Amino acid sequence: MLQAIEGITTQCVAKQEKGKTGHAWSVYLAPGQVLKAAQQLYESEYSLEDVLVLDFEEGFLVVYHFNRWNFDERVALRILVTKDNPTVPSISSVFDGAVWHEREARDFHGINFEGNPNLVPLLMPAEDVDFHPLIKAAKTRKAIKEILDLGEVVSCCKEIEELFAEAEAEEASDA
Amino acid sequence: MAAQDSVVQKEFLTAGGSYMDPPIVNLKLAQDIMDFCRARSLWPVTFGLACCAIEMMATGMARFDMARFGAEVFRPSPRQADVLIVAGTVTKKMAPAVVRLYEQMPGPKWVIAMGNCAISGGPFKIKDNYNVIEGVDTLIPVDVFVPGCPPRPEGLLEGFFQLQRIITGKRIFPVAEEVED
Repeated sequence: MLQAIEGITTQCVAKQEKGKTGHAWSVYLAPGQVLKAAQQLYESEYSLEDVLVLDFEEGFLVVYHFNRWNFDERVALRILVTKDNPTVPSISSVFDGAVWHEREARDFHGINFEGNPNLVPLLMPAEDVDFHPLIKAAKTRKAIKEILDLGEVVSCCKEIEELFAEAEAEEASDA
Repeated sequence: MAAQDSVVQKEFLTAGGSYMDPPIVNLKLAQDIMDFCRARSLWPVTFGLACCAIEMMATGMARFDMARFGAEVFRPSPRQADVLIVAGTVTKKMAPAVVRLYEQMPGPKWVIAMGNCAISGGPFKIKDNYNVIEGVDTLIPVDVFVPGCPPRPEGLLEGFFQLQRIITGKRIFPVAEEVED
């Protein structure tokens, strides 16, 4: 079990195959928990690698990658937000470097990071403040289960399990 | 200047484009001498945007040695330069800077669009392109286009020969002979 996120209400904690996904743990969180999780990861000497957003049929999946210098255990925090209200609390109060990552994510997908002190375009021109180029067209969008693996589940709530439910059934029928 | 060299004047981001008022007293011989000298001492701006700039640097180095053709002095300030080599991808965010550089250059001035990105957007001219200017000639007037991705240094040198032809009305340096194996 991942020690660093003990005591945080998670939606799903799963061990991942490192050779396939590149990280050891995948943790699904509700948006409200991310700041607390970031704080605990910071205290366990994790550093923030990147913040990225994936555009899925179910909504935007905001992914935070954390890693440690002295121990190879990459953690991916994943937060699913709806398309109508893509709001996530900013973790820039814990990791200063997250300011730019979050601005980039805002540029490309229009995620609103609440609490980011300077949420203005970073890579996009200032006049394109409401234009988010990496939002996919409905035709090219895919479901989460087509892209991601749930991995070896430690604990998981129903909602997340449902996202991956069909994929697992299909795999079973193939075997 | 040959007829096919004439550029149809169009709307640019710069005010007034590169067109200079004709001289008040036009002495043909004096003008010819000026043009002759200008064509043999082109001073480009030290300005690279992407991988084409590497080829531009190679052109200035010993193997290709642009100095042989009079275009050796890469100036660190646009105020001292008369050729702008747009070497690379011009993004939407970079566009105002390119125009500003161009406007800071004293006339007469010329622009070489080097590489496919600067000419038309090149590999970035796709449906989902949101950040690359598709052709620097939509921003500033371009005199010579040097295609390639990136063009070889010989290509850029040939671009300079064409520019010299535009300035003086005739090609100064001979066309290279084909080498037989």
